[in-house]
Amino acid sequence: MSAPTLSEHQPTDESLSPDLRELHALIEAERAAFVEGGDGRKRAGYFCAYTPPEILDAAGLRHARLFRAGSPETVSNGERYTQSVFCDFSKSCIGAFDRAAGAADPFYLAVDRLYAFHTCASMKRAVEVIERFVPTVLLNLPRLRGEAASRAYLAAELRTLRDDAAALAGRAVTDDDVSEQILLYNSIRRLVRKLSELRQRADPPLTGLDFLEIVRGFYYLPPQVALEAYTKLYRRCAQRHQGKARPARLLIAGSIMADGDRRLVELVERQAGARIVAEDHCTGLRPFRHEIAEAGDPFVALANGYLDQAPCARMKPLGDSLDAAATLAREYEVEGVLYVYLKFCACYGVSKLAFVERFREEGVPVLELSSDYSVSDVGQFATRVEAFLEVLQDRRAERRQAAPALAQEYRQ
Amino acid sequence: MNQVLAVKTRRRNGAKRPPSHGLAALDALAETYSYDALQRVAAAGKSVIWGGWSWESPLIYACDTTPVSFEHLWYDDSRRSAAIAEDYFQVPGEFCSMIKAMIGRLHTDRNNAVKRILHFGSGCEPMSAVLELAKRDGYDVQTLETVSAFRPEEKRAAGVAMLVSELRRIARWLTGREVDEDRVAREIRRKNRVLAKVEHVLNLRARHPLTIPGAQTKRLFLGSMHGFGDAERFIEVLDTLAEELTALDGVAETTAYIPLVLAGSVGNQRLFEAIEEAGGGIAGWIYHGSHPYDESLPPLESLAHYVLDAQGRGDLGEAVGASVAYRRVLVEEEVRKTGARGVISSSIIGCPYASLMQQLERDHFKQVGIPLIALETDVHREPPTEEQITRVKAFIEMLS
Repeated sequence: MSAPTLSEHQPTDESLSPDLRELHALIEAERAAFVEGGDGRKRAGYFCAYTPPEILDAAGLRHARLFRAGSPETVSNGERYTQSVFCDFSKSCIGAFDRAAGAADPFYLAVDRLYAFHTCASMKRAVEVIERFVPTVLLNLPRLRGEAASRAYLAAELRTLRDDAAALAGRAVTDDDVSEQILLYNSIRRLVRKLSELRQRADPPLTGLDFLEIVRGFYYLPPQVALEAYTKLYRRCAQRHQGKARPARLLIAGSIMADGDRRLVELVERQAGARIVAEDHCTGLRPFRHEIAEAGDPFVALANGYLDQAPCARMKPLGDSLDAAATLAREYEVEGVLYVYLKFCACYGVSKLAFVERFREEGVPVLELSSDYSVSDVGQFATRVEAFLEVLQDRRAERRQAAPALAQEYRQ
Repeated sequence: MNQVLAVKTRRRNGAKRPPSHGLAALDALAETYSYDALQRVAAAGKSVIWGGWSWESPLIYACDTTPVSFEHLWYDDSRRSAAIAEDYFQVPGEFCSMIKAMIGRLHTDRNNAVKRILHFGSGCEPMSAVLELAKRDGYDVQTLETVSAFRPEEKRAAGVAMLVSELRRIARWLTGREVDEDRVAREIRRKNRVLAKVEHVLNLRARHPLTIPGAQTKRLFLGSMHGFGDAERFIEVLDTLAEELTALDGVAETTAYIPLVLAGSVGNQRLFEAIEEAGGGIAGWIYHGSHPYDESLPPLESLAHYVLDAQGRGDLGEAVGASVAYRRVLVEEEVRKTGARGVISSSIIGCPYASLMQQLERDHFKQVGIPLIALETDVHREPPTEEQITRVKAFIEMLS
């Protein structure tokens, strides 16, 4: 087994639009610098999109979301503890930290402290192993979005996060420090949303692969750097003239799509010629559809804002997650949905029927794909995706034919 | 339908088990808490809910409600229920038989009288997910907010405050009014009596492990949590069993056995018979704890501390989100206490929690030199597979 290097499983310049290459270079430089350290700052890592980077930046920590996975070697590393019944992402999280097993990720090993929210039970379990390898703070994440007590509880947990981050950084963190970061991150999220909204055009100037790179930027780059890069990128992309191409418009919904798990999006966009225009998953558009209140107690604001974001399927009630997914499908006028869940993902595997039915109620066909990080299913995916896209093409043709007939009927 | 398992009346060497009034009374009590009996109680207008039978049961009883263990959902028709889960609800095949049997049975019986479900958000994720699907069949599902104690005493005040607030909400859901804390305190005292007596019986049983078969011992553990809906009668059963076991002290055991500690849940209860037939005797069992509630605390806080302590000890299992890192301490203590020669770590196939804990225990007990075998079963009632029996026999043979 060879240890994956920083460049393995990453998007390459070739897979991204030319406009994205500058951002890609910034991300890779920052990732290398994170590993090298040397700036005297402590480095924090986190797994879940419910972790507010606002607090980590307020403490002056260098931080990154740890969501790089996709390598079968790292999965196999993690299986030493989990056997087979965890999803490949959670196994990768363990494997990437286990220095002894030989396929650990230098980026993960550079982390001084891990902040881990109890999201799904499997990730909680994985973290109980990971804390053997890295100092870890475990935090509760409430599920009941509608309960005032749950919001207050999350605010208390976030204050714990603040205290630990401050101790790690060796400096005090004031409410004003956090409020300042809330303003900054709101600006960034607004820009990411605006960038995504460019995909609402008939000929989107950004591919799905491009957008996933933008999301990588959010989780790896210092916020000020990300803000500047996104501003420039938006200016360029917004001015681009629309072409005549009308690719099939798809939404990807479901489990986490790790940084490094690009097989499906590459297949859809680079081989089959369709376009991912929106993502209802936690490493795509979903975490950017909320804003944090900029006045008042910043921890209450963060608790409310994060619980109000488009929810993961582990949150309750599930109906909120279904509504958010359906809204996204409508706003982006998608023609089809790829519902992709990692094998053993309880949140999206067990709930898939509810999602699939909800999309169908919206009149959107769904292709359901159960995935892992092995390479054995690529051929099967290709066949199924191509067949699905043919169905979507037929529907488009039928609609075109029906449109004049309907217009005539209306005129009569 | 009868959920009370037939218990083998003969031991491995063909000797008949001595008649036990205590065990007969236990079986009779379990009959009153059977699936059908509870549905009849609910149909007659009594408040009955799925769940709420574990650490929170004193609150549920104080709300004039009978909590029912989820285990009832897979005692019967589990194969058919699992097929419904996969076909109708499209639950992927890789998930465990327990959650599939649960959702399938809830669907089959959607017109029955028990329509409310209580569930703790810190526990099993697939269970949490299937219960969301149960809402489609008209079930009123309430989740107690996720509060996990990752380390003993860590962030305790905030966790307790959150749980107390949640318990008050659940009381309003059950009764439409504020909780009667005096009644909760009384129920806590009653449950503490049950827990103490169960512990006493289990300690006596450890000296005569073949006297109470595994399936009935499991019933004692479950009763320690829910009391079969009639704690006073259960206390009488426990007193009878204690008397019978005490009378055995000084009487030579006629069947030789290898003392073992069992860790975890046993889905397929026929496995108990396989262990005994292979010459094993389960002298100790880490399943549901027997720690008492703190009666000096305000009652709702006492419940909260109880579950947070249990999580930190690795006690009460995945139903409460217990830590995977600490159960081995309890197992090791039990091995020392009972003089067991080996550990059987049992789990349900496809359970992430148990599989991880088994792996950690495997590593740990290898280091400390205590033999361990990890077994996985499903919740169905077919006899154990030849492979399982062979592994159990080989393990026990190795210890003899």
